Amino acid sequence: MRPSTHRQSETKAMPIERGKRILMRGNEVVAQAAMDAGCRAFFGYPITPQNQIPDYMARHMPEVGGVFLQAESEVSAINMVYGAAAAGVRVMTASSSPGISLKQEGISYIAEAELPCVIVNIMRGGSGLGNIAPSQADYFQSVKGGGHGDYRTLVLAPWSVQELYDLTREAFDLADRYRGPVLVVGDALLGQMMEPVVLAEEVVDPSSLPAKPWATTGARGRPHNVINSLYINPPDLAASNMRLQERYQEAARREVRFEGEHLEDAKIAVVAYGTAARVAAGAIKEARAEGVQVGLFRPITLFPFPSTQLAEVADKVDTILVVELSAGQMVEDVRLAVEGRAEVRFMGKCGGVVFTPAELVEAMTSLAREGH
Amino acid sequence: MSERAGLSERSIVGFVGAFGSGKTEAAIGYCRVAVAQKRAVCLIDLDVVTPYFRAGDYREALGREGIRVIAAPGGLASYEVPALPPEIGGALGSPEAQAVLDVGGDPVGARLLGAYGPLIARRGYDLWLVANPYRPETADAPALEGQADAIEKSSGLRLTGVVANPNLGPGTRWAEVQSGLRLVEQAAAGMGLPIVLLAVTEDLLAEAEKAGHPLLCLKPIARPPWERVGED
Amino acid sequence: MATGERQVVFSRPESLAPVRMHYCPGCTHGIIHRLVAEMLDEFDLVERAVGIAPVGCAVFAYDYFNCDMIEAAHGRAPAVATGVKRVRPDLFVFSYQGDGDLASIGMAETIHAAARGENITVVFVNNAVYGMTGGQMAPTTLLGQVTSTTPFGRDAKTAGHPIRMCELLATLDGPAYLARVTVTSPRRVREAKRALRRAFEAQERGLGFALLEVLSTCPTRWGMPPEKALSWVEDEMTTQYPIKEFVCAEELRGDKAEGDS
Repeated sequence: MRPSTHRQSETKAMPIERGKRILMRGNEVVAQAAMDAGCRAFFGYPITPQNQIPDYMARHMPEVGGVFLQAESEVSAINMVYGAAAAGVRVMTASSSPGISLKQEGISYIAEAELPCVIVNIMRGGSGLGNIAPSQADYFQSVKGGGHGDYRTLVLAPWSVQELYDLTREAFDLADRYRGPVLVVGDALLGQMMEPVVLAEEVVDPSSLPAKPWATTGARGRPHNVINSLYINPPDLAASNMRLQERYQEAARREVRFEGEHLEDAKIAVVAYGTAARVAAGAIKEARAEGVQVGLFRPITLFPFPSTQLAEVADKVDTILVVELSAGQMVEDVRLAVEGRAEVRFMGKCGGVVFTPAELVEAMTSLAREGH
Repeated sequence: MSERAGLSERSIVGFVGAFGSGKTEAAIGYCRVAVAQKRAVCLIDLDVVTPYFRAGDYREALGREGIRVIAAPGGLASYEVPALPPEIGGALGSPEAQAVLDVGGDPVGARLLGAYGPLIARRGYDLWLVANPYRPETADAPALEGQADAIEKSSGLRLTGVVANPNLGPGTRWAEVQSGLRLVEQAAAGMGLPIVLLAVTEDLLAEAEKAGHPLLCLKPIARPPWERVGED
Repeated sequence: MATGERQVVFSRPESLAPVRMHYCPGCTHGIIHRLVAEMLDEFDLVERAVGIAPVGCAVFAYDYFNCDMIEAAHGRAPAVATGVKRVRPDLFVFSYQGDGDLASIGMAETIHAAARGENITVVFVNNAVYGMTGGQMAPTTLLGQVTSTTPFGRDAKTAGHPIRMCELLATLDGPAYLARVTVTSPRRVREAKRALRRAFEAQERGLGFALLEVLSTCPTRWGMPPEKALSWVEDEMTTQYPIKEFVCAEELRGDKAEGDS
């Protein structure tokens, strides 16, 4: 890619320290991770609680010769992403729940047109305008497609600021490898909180990335490239659909990520991701101190979902307790994975309300008292 | 340490600084010291930049500690419509309590001080820059000085001191505080400003005594739920 | 040249793919495509142009040009064009859009790209009707015009008024070139080509947003023979939509842009 020069600015580069602990906000880290991954274009639109992402991009993207543009709407922002991705550049947009809904049209086109890009959703309470408090109620929208048609997005769900950095960087590699949109989901708490983070010493030089021969960069010395999601002839569209499905199957074989804690002797396995898992982990420590044999199974990729791995856990425990900041969404995928191997219970908070560790400890101890 | 060490003698004391430098926690910590010393204070939440972790969110808890908080009316603060209540003007002009200002981050947040500038200047003020060199935007002396300069320009007021707040969040080690503090000292010297307070969490107080600065003990009020394990 | 030697005086532009177009008889999309291709040839752009095709009758435009092409969602072409142009300012980026695409569902994208002075070229084909979906009312449908969704003629009381895009965009500071032309006669075609040259030139010189509105025919949806459709453009459409140059940056008034062909 040719470095973009039309937005060079006088901005002095930030004296950012790499390889040692610094204190950063989740949203800031998302933006820094993208630039470190060689992302050179960001298109966004203001919405709380992700505003520090575009703010940070606006200040620092010019330092690396990249493009920052505040679009007129979420709809336009995702279509600018479509254009920049078609031109072969690593590109990102970020938003929060209502804004992600607006982007769904574009995400569907991007998926079928096989364009790599990264989309960050710092989730807030819904439905509708909802509120700006932390929520995980966009799980279905994230993992089941979101827009129209037979496509999925790979979905990464970090639970700390450090993991937000690592996974946002990795999302760009996954997007290129599987030629499609990759979603990174956090929530208002993860986006707003500050934690120590270590930024990697190595950053990606965009010119070192593998060429994208399919990109629309000018038909010089080759037939013209067409970026398209229109296949009038049904068998042609079916073939395109199936090509995507094969990629998802490959991703399911290669990219599933999860973490387990204290599962060795567990009779109860808590299944939770992101912020909910973070609260659950603290509660599990305390419940174990009270003698409850409980462990944590934390999906890191929500799509592909770690179904096989969870089924293995289900074989060993009596009860699975799904803890979500929603009225019950991931629990459906858990039930599909567990297939009756263990009893599945659900505990959810919705509307932006967050669990206290004490509530979770109480739930675990009462499950244990029931004889689970 | 003298009775009033670290407390401002002015009618108004404002905490300014970069996003995430710890202004709210410092302002709350300051009010706690003042209340402990039977000084009347009124904490004014002037942060209209970020609708999270603002003093106004903790109005009730702080009220129980004897700290009056003026912020956007209850509920409103948690919507995306930050608005400033008219009581602020009254509190800034009142001789009954010292007004402690928790100002929004960066020059953007400090610009709002301009609206109250003449009143603040007339009443007499301290304006303290909260500095955390572990934040990437203020990671060295030139960056801190640039931040200070921009805040003075946008607020129309002069800085009178620096609150050193070198930390990496919960679990910060004393060695990390020390090396951060050296950087803040250097920046403060460059700006010709005294370090009026060194802010540390309770667990580091004993070691911090050696640093030779007035201390401000922080008991973070804005904590994610997983740091509340073991609480009811 | 020697008398009697045969030479090619007219041929398909190299930028136009040698394929059969799907447009109905009497539709002027074909002429407009050809003009775009002639400009791509003239400016030697086929190896560094990226075209954005719309949703509408020109949806297959990506098959008709030999340059790189992107098919956009309905109305989003200016946003897609922005994405390409911002990351690759060295490329020549144009969109080709109809009235429903550009003036209805994509109004926000159009206006904001224009307001930003986005350095792209937009070819806007206005035939006052939704051709692709079955002849429904377009934002540019004339008052009284019968369409499948205004079966008694467009009534301003219920269906609102037609939108004049060039006039609307001319209120902004971003556009470097805005003009309305038509292609109803050889003279009109020559004028249209001159205007299109300026719309290309604007981008090549980095002057900002350029849009050429071309009043076009739709014999099929208007229910008229092609010849009558051409006169309908002249008699009815040009009254509502005057043929005119609305904005022309000073730099475009030079010799090259004036050249005839």
